[in-house]
Amino acid sequence: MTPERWQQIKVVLYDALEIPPEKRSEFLAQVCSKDDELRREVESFLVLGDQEARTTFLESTRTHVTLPAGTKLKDYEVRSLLGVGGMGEVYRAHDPRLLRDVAVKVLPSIFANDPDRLRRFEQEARAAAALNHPNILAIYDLGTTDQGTPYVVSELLDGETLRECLRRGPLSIRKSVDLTLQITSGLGAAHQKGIIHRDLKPENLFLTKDGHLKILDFGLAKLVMNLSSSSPDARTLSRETAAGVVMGTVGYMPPEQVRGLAVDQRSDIFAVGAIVYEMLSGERAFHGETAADTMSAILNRDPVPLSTKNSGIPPAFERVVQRCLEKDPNERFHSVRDVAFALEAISDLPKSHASGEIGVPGKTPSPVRKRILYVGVLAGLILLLGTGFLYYQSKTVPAVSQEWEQVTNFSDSVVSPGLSPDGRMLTFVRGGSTFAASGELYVKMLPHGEPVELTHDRMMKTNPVFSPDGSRIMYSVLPSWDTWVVPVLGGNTQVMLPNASGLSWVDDRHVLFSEIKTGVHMAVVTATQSRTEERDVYVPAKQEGMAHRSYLSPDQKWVLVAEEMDVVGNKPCRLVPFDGSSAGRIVGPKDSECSSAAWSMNGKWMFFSAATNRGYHLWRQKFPDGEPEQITSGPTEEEGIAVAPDSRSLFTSVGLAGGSVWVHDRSGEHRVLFEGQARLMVPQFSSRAVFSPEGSRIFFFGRRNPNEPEDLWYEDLNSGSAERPVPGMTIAHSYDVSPDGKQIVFDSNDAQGVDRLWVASLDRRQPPRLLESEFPETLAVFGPTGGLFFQRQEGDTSYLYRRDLDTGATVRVIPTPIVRLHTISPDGKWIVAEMPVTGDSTTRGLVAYRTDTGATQRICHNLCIVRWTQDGKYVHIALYGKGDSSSDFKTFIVPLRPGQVFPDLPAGGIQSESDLAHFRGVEVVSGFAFPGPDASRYAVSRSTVHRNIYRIPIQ
Amino acid sequence: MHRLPSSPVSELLGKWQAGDREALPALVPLVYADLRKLARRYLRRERPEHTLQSTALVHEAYLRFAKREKVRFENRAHFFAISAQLMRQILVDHARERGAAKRDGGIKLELDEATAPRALREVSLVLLDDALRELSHLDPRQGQIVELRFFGGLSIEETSEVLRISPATVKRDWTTARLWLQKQIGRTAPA
Repeated sequence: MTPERWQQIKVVLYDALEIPPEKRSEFLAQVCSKDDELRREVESFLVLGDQEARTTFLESTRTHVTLPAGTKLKDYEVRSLLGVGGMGEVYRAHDPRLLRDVAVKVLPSIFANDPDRLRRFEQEARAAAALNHPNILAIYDLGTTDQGTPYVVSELLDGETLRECLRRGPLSIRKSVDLTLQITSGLGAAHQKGIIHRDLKPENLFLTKDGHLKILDFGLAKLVMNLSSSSPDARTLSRETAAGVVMGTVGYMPPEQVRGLAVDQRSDIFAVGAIVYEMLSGERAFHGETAADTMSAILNRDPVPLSTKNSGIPPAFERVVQRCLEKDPNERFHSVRDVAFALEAISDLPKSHASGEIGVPGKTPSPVRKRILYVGVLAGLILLLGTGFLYYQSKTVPAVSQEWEQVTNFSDSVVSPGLSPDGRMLTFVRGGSTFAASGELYVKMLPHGEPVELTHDRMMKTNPVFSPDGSRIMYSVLPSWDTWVVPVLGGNTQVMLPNASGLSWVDDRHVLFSEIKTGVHMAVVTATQSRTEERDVYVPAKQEGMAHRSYLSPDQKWVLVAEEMDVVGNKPCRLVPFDGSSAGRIVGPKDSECSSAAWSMNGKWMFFSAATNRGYHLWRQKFPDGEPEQITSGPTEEEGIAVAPDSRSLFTSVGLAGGSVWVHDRSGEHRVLFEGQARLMVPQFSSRAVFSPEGSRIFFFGRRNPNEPEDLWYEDLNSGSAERPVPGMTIAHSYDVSPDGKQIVFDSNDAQGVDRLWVASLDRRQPPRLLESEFPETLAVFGPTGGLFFQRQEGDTSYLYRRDLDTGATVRVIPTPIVRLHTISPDGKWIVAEMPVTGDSTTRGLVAYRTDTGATQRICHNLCIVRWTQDGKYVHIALYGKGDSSSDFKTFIVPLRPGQVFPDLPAGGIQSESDLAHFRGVEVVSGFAFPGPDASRYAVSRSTVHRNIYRIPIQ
Repeated sequence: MHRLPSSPVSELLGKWQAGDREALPALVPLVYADLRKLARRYLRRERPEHTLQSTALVHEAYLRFAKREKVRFENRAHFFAISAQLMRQILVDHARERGAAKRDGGIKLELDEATAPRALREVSLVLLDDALRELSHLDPRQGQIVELRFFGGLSIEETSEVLRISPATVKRDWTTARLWLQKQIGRTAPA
């Protein structure tokens, strides 16, 4: 054939190919009327062209769409090509809404032609993604390009496929087991939802750089197989997918799948067996010269025993693999959990990443150490953890299962978990206090992203929540009670709404938040995000009530409210109608303090973090009338709740308080000898002293073991002996020691939960005596010259009273209401309390009131603490230590001149540390220093609380 | 807009793309080593039931290149064009070396396991190379197109861009070239 002749043939041939076969003969007869040879040549090619293979021969080219950088897919902006996989090209793309990079896999365009099939694929991919499992690739979105080509948006992973890993040779037994347990963990979750993978192979398993395994392409296999098994699409598909794809890797399919029979979860188990075989031996379990030979091997032959490939493989191990690879599905393990169990049982390995622990590969603690860790840290909470048997039996485990997953790992504390709407990002505040912490806001990609610090202002923050589109985080800033906003990936912070705290979203436009009406009267309101259409949802009946946090039910009919009530502390959670039609009712555990709440996504469960006398734990209650059930217990405290979108788990801040009390004297600092957890009283609560008058005893709250309720104790600083002055009595807020050191006064709740005052003798010669009153009374302090000062609640208002302990007569000391009594000066003339001041718009903050003249002196505008040494020569003034996140307070010990009760404070009160730091002889102490009898001795509580965020499964 | 810093490869690709044919000889050694390394690794590692996937190799080579040399995205088609030629050379050389010991060179190109007749499913690379040479005698442009499409993995559009001809022409030449090769290989292949 000459080149000229071929050009002739080529033109006719192509034209002939372009017309329907039945008309070709006519066409050729016409075109080649004078050249029979030409006609025969063309026909010899057309014969080939009519064979099926004509469409596929050499079609080993990419027919995938190729997207240049900058291409927009919906909102995603393509950045670069990451790789070419079996089922399309994978790009790195940017999601500008969530400011994150994602992976976009563009599927072969053939799928564009079958919307039904695509929809089923989408369902399955979404179902797998909804499992929210650390071992399953997270799918964020599915869509189609302008040309109708489908694409899948998923999390961006850094690492390699198991195939690439295996190219370097076989893996160790330990590594193989670790990876297999991760596979079975992800697969188990999918199987539980009836999702079968159908195409597990090393190419579909991705190993991230931090040692986690992710199963890719759920749903994709079904899409492909459905296509290839049904005519007439089969040919089209073959042509399209053959392009640039090695389709020869049939080595992982079970016999039933090779035969085209129905598949179920046992089919995936076969693939797992084949993969484990290859991990251990470095060779395929089934292989032949051609794909057909491989299929024949799968159907007819058993793989070469592993032990002949690798003599180090224990026989028990080999049996597990063999049982996965049984030809008859009935002979195989019936569930992947059984596989996991069998592997764990023989491998003596702890659960790996599959159980969600954070660990650095290669630095995994030994099984023994790990177990000790659990027992030591989370004993009781997770009694069942770590035993494969119980894991296997997990259906019988009560509400909260044993598998707690530590999500953050800060050496100090993080609190206030909040989840993005898609459940992929977690936000939290770094700091020890679950109420509000002087620390920064963080965001973290789940499950293993690095926490990113979003703010840098050391302001007190709480209650971070994501915007409905997940792009911003709103949080409350104290003490101004404003809502601030920051973009998820950082940037400028700014006030979104002033006088609005505890904000959450009702929908894209409306928010629910707390607003201070007057003073400390804080109500729950709803409005648009620009604060139009505002209306009250819940207004606490009492002027001192602060409804700090609110949680809207998924059906938007109910709101759970956590409120601070009366004088001190939180009250039980409240369930109120969203329409504001009533004040609702109390829910959750009785007589508890509720700090936060949440709903399950279906609205059927209410969750609370609430404190009984055994600390803060999580509770749940069926909506609307179920019984509250405690779902966590033990030595830790759980506060804050963010329920995952699938309602299968929740995030909470788990704290282990290792509190201790230290006494500072001339020889240094000594820890009290008490064995157990100890703390001094909350400094805001009234008390003149934590020391006995002569300074030989120190009083503190303690519990010797985690299951014991907290009691008041005192320890003799000389002998080290410890006593309980009022065993069995639960002190609600505060106590005080009489000037003669013989009595204590304290408040305790009665059966109705009402604060009552009691007096007890320290020698326990007489039983504690109730101070009868028709009003709730609390926060009592002995006056230096006799009598008892305390706070009495009359209706909505609290007043300061004095009681003569001999006659029982009471008299109101300050005519105007007070908010909270703090202390009394050593000379008995000044009462220090939080109270409103006439003509002063600042209604919170500390004020000193002179009992003989009625004069007032503002001490500070926010929370500060004032206490005197018993000899009256020094005053301890503590400010919230904004500059020091390790401790909430900073104490300035200021010497006083004779006759002076206060140092020379600014007329308008203390504004900043500089108002105190300049005093001559001032000493600064981190934390709040409770004064002793004189300047030589003071006491501090050291809280070693560590709080980190855990994911806790819930049924 | 950020512009990636230019690199020798990027510059050469740019020149070549702009029509500077002198750039090609300079480019080849830069690309060749990488491709050869990849191909060798691939050929050594892969197991008998694996079929050769030159497209995947070229893509892999490109990704490595793009990362190392910061090749600009628009150079991609031209990179593949160069790679196609080199890949053919590397693979065929390898096949011929091994062919001394084994009749078909030991490398098979699996085309479509589901539907293609078995005889056409596995094509000896050596036979394909021979046939492609003959086709290039008849129609050099068709030879180039097959090289770019088959060994380089370029799309119709990319091939038309590289060769500066219309996509319709590429499509026509590609379709007929495949039939020609198929017939030619069928004639010479052992039964």
